[in-house]
Amino acid sequence: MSFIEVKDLTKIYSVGGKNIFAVNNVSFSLREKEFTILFGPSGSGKTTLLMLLAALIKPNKGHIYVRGQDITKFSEDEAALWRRKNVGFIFQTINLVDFLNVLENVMLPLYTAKIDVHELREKALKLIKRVGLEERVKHKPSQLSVGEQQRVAIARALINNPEIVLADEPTAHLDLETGKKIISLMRELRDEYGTTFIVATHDPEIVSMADRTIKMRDGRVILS
Amino acid sequence: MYVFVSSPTLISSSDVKLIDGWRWTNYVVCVSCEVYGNVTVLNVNGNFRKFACKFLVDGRLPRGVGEAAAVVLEDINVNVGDFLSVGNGSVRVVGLLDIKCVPLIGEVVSAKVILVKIVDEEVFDSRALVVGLSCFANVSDVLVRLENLLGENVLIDASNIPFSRIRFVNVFVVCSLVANVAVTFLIVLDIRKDCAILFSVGWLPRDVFGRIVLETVVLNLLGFLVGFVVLYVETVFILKYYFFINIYVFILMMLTLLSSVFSSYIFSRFLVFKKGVEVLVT
Repeated sequence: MSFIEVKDLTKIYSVGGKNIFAVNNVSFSLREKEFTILFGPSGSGKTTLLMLLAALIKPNKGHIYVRGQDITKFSEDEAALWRRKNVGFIFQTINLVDFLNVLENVMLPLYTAKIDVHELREKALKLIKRVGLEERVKHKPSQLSVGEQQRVAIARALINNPEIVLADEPTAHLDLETGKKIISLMRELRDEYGTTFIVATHDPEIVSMADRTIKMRDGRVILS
Repeated sequence: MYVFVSSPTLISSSDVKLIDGWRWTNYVVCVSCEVYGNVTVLNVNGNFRKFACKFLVDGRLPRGVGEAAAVVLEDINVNVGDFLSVGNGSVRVVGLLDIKCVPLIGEVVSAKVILVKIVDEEVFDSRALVVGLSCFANVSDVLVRLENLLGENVLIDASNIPFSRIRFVNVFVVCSLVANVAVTFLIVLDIRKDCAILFSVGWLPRDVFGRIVLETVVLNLLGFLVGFVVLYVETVFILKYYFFINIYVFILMMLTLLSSVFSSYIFSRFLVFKKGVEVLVT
């Protein structure tokens, strides 16, 4: 059985009375611990697909099975709990909370989980050190470079030991070299933590760093 | 013998139930009257100058006013059924109630409270009521106030006052609720992205929602308290009304808080969970 199986997935947005198929009848499957890149131009449906995979939105049609469990059937609460336990999300716009420092941002996903704060803090510090920001623990996001902010976002995505990390254009605001370093870091973390990474990008330079590439255009998978 | 009109709230000439369910004269200063069809509204804590004017203009009680509460400051012996002469008219005592402490403007006096029914409305001379009212409003200043109340200038002053006390509070209620909803909307709008981040990293909707409610309720409560102080200062020092927390203000506070919670819920559902996620990825 595949780790992730996407079947006939369709997501339609209604804009000005017109239906737009952001994801159109997409099917594919992924193996565990695979480093997958969703590649395609802007507007091809990558972000929507990631949001569907994170159970942040519901599809109009189709199913997503993770370890055989259909996550499209989850209620809002079930989806949130599932995300907390199984998913890390890295945004193109990074989306750190401005008024929290690096440590607090990394701890954020597990604040409401019943975990000892000291244990959580140790875990967060370990991750921050792993992404090379141990000197920046007390800094606010505004005091960091974009590349550093993205590292914090990666640490935040891994704090809950997720099985899946979904990254939406994580290198979009970075120069090529920094972007490659970020992807390399993700690959290393994949090896260390055994996490399945799904990275959406339109940057052809980093496609070669994937175990597997899924190409998308106009909401459809054209190469898997 | 003086009979002092005190503080009915809402009565009609046929509304006898108010006498049994006496609730409206506990802490009142003065009243004003407005007639709506068969119902006469006497405003609690209203502008007594306006009240006086109404009575002085036609020299009698407004049409439809058949019952009133009165405070007897002198130690007279009255019983239910007694007739009391007031000017050229008279009132009949229809109820008795003792209120030992009656707060007036700046002081507290002991007074006996009775309920009276206007017996002969047509020839009723309201001047005695005006005297009583002025006494009630400020015992130590009764003569000066009486002189003022009976003077022409007072009539002009009263006509310049745009709102009765109750209308003023009504406006305050509406403004407060509207401001409350607006503040809630702005708060949720402001923290929409942060809340959407929390939602996306695995916080439960109720955790995120709890945060919004907490923020908005606390901020709205602070806003309300500030508004309350401003209103108090305005009423006491500018409009010369006597103001205090009564059931009406209490209801206002509860309404404000409830509107905060409900508007938080509505806005958060829409802005955070429906639109917030879109904000994160666009």
